[in-house]
Amino acid sequence: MLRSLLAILLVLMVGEVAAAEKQFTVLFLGDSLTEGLGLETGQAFPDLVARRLKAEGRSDIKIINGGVSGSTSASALSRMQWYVRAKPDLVVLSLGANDGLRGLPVAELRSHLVETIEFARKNGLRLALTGMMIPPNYGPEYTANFARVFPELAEKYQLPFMPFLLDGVAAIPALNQSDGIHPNAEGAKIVADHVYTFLAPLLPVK
Amino acid sequence: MLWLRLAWKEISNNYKFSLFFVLNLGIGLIGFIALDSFKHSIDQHLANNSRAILTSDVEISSRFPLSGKETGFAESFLHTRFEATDQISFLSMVAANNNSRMSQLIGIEKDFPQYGDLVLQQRGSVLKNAARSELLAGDNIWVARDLMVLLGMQIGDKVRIGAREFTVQDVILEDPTTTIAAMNSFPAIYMGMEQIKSTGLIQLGSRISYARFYKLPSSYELSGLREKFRVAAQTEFKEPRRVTLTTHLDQSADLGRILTYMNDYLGLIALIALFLAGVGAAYLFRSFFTSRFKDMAILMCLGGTPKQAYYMTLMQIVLLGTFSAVAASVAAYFALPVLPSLFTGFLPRGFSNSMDGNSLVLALFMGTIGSIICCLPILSKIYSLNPIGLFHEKVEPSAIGPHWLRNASSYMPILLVFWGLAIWQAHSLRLGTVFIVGFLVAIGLLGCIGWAILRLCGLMSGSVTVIRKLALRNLDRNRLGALSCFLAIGLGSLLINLIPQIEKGLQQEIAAPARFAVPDFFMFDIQPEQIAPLQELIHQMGYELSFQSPQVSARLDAINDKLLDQVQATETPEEQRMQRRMYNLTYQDKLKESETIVNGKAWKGPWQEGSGELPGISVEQNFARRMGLNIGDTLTFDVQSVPVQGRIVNTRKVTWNSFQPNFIVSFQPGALDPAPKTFVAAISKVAADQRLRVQNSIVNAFPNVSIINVQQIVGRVLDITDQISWAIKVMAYLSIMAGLIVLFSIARYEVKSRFWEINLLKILGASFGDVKAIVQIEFGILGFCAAFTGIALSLAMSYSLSWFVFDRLWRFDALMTGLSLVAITALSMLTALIATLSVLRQKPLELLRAT
Repeated sequence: MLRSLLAILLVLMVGEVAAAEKQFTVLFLGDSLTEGLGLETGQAFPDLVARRLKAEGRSDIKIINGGVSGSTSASALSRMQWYVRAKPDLVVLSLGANDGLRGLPVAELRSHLVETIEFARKNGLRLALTGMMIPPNYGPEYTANFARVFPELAEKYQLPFMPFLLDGVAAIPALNQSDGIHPNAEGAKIVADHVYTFLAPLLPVK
Repeated sequence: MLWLRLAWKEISNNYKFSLFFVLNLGIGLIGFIALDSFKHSIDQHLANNSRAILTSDVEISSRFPLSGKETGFAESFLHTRFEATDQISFLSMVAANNNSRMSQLIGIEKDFPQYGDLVLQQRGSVLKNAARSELLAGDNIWVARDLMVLLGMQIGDKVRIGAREFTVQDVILEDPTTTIAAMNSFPAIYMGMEQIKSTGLIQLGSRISYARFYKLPSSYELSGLREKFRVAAQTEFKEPRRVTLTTHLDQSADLGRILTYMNDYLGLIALIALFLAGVGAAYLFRSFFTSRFKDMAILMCLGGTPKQAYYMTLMQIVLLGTFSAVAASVAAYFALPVLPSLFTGFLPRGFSNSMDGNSLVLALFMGTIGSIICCLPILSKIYSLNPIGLFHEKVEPSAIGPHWLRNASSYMPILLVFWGLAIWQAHSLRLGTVFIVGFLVAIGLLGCIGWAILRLCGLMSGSVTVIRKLALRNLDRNRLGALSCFLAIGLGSLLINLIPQIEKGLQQEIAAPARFAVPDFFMFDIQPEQIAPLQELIHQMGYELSFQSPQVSARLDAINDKLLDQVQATETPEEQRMQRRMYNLTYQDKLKESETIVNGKAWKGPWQEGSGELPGISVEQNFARRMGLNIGDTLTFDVQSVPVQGRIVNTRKVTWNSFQPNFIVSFQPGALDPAPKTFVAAISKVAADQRLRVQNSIVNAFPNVSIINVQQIVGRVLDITDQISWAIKVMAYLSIMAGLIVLFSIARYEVKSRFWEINLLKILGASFGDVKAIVQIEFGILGFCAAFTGIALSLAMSYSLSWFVFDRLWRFDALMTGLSLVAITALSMLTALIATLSVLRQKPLELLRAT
């Protein structure tokens, strides 16, 4: 299994690996917010960040949008295993929103994130974490416990941390799609600005 | 008044004949009313079942509070009278007995539900007593039974929701609102609208669903409403999809599609009923009118004008037609509600059959106005009626007179009225028009074929025995009379046989194939490392994990190395394009039970890297057709930023209603195995009382796994599907029965009108056997040829109808076709025989006097 996995990845990613020798690769490992559900191609925040970097002449930075709609933190480890062979220089871990929306136990979220962070460390991957909050209707206790997980892990593992991915966008009807949770094109621009600010100090100096 | 008096006198003078006519027409109309009313009852019954799931006809909803402007817009869009009730719902963690669970809170008003019913443990039906007022009166909640078990609660216990405590007032045993759309079916808690607002959980940023439910008049047209509303709302609010409208038909794609088929099918049944009644009535009216030419000629000899002669006869027909329609309606009124009680156990629960006002009006229309319209073409012939004909054996107008234009145009009202009625009955301009055009073509073809067959009978009469010669020559000589009988039987057969072919096609599409058992649970989002422990857990509980399939999320990037944006039409809405481009891929070494390869070959073994070939891809046939894909094409997927290319080696037919995990795109194993994936799987054969235990064990051990109680959620939809499937079959049988009744009345009338000839044969010394044989041969040939031609035409017409209306769902039903051919021929001969016997039993002199 491992042999065939390696062989296939080599075939599939030969171009990527060759390019990575010169480029600094940033992987956004996330859910529908990262994927840009409901937005036109190229409007998701990782794509906007990539465009801005390109406009600034940072052709040495390569952004991979690893967002999968509906994914929970449970999928983080196996997806990290898929990407590890591509040796991204920085992984921005943005999972957890679906765990919250589905009311999954907070302990589960924590343990999935812990095993993913530890796997990344073991494999020499640099990691950054974005925090998430869930809507207040889920109840005061659950929402508080949920929101606490991210800063605690960031502190424990000394990870660069962006407290809330949807800061300034969540709960504002004009910046969200009709489902009330996914940013619209305007909202995605604000998220991209915040992410860019968070990301900039983590990128190599040109 | 004079015409009325004269007509009445005529009727009472010929009371025996009049009774016979009324009886025949009445029988035909009873068939029509029964069929039409039953159609209406089924329509209502199924729609109510589907409405019960939504609890209303239409719902508008938003993730933001519905503003007065939005509700006002929706209500002016609906543009009809309505009853409305509001609802707020959201997910929240609720706590009791030191335990907490995610549940769905639903805030209701006193008019909930508008359709369907909730059944409570202590109070029973929510509709039948003061349960709703009791709920809304204080801090009370109704809790789903599952949640009661999960939190270990009893009625009267306190539950903490948000900032407040509520008392469990009752337990929900049955809730029709659990729909197929709910992926995460959290147990429900119902409470009053004011109470839900008081929980403090509705704040800035809360994810709330605001809905207003509408009950509309039953005749309100719902199909296509959602899309119309979407377009209108976009124009009005300049914001996409902020407020959405859902009709009860839209809740489940499958159910909606099936209900639309059913609607069209029932529309078709109604048309069949209408045309059957029309053919029967028109035939009888015309025959009656023709038989009265002699009286008209006498009237004209005595100084009457053609108009006067016509009015008198027409008045007779209108009176007789009205009697028949009233008699048929009265008989149907008493018989129809009793029918379901004869079939208890066979009919779905809660089904009631009652006479539909529509059917009644149509029956009366057929009896009165119908008679006038049907006789219009003969009116023009009266002007060519010559009293000298009285000295001939038969009085007939000369065939082609100077009034040919009036003759031709006199058929226009029939055409227009039936076209209008067809559209009205089918509730569809398209179906009504397709049907009437098809029907006209069929009449033309039947006429030509019938004419040729009758002519052939004449030509063949030279070289056979005397009996056969007489029979064949009778058909040829009396070609006009025989042709109208041929047309009536042929059209009857056509109408009868339209349904079974479409029924078979629909049945195959709708009914879940018996070989696919519905599993009890479906599970999604199973992580690869969870498969083994999940299997172990389920095995310990005594069950097996089945239909395990990997699922890899990917974006379709290119077809034959052309980027998708260049291939796809740019005018497709953005949303559709996005959806089309994200796929759940799977990989499998062999086909599932629900799949068959229609084109290409299956792969052998896993893909070997370094083989120099691309991995094989199998695509679902409809998807391939839609996307214009062929075998040999390459598809490139972006599997989470890694491009994976494969080549299409086969297309598959998928039985979507097989209740197995089915995929549009499937890869040869070996290519996608290392990609990030989740698994879907099912569990079957779990006893009803064990389901909650099984579900809880899985949820506790693997909280990230989404589990769907298929029996609970799909059960109701399946129940409706089963009923539809049943209804389609029953309607097919009923339409055959009604058709046979009409044909019986036509054949009976036709034989009776041959008294004169039969009598003549008797006087000339023909034996009983000879007369019997002649009539049998005549009606055998007529019945068989007409039925055969009608059935052949019905195959063509049902095929084109299925093409236009039923997404090409058409299957040849050989058994029904054969059976109806035999039945119609036998019916014609048997009816002829019975009627002949009654003629033969009478003395020739009496018969001579009678004519």
